[in-house]
Amino acid sequence: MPFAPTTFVHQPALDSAVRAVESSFASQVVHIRYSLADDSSGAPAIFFRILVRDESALIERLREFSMRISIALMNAARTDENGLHAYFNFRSVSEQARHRNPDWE
Amino acid sequence: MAYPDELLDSAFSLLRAAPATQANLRRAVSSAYYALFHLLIGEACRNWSRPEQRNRLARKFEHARMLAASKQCADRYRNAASGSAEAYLFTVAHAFSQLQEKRHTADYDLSEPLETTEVALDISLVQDAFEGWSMTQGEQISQDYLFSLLFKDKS
Repeated sequence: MPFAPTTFVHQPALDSAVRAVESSFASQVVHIRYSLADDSSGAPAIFFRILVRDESALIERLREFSMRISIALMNAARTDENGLHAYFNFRSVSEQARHRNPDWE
Repeated sequence: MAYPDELLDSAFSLLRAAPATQANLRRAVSSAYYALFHLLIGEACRNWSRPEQRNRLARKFEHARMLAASKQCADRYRNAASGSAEAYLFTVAHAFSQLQEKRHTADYDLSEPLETTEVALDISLVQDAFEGWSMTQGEQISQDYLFSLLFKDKS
């Protein structure tokens, strides 16, 4: 996924907002990373990568909290006010251990 | 069974197929997206009073316009009260915008393998959107959303 900021965003405020959501979901989430890039339609977007604890990555548990954390991130990061569309990707710790993708570290 | 339901069933079948190949997982995401795409177009076209013209009307819908309308709707209703018509509509619009991007990645970006967990979550988003639509389809806001999928209001 290319890292290419496409719109003006106050990065420290964004970092702080993401960290706050990360803390409030600490029992399910290891950490949250993000990138700014254009989406497939060419619009400015933020791509969240949410690393989930294995015990929370069972589909029924993930289904339960994925929407809540998605909305929390959109609110905290004020994605629409920043002109960004938010996209969410979830991966478990054991899946990341197989991939070792640095974007998720 | 209606075509959108068949596509959603197909997505689940591809997800459960053993072994879990990249081809099956990627086709599962694509099927899930098109399930919702055709559900919404079918619902919108039902409002056209001449049945013989509905298939032609259905060809007028464009992915980009539908994405823009869904983003706008999802932003508007993302903090709606749980169980409200607005909250159900949010699940529909949010799923559409997420799945359109996911389908694009699944079909064109082979840089990283898809994982079963993520694909299962993508399909569940669409399943929730189907359920959400059934709860809110008669509401004015939902009918306005269908209209916005095809037509952009003049500002």
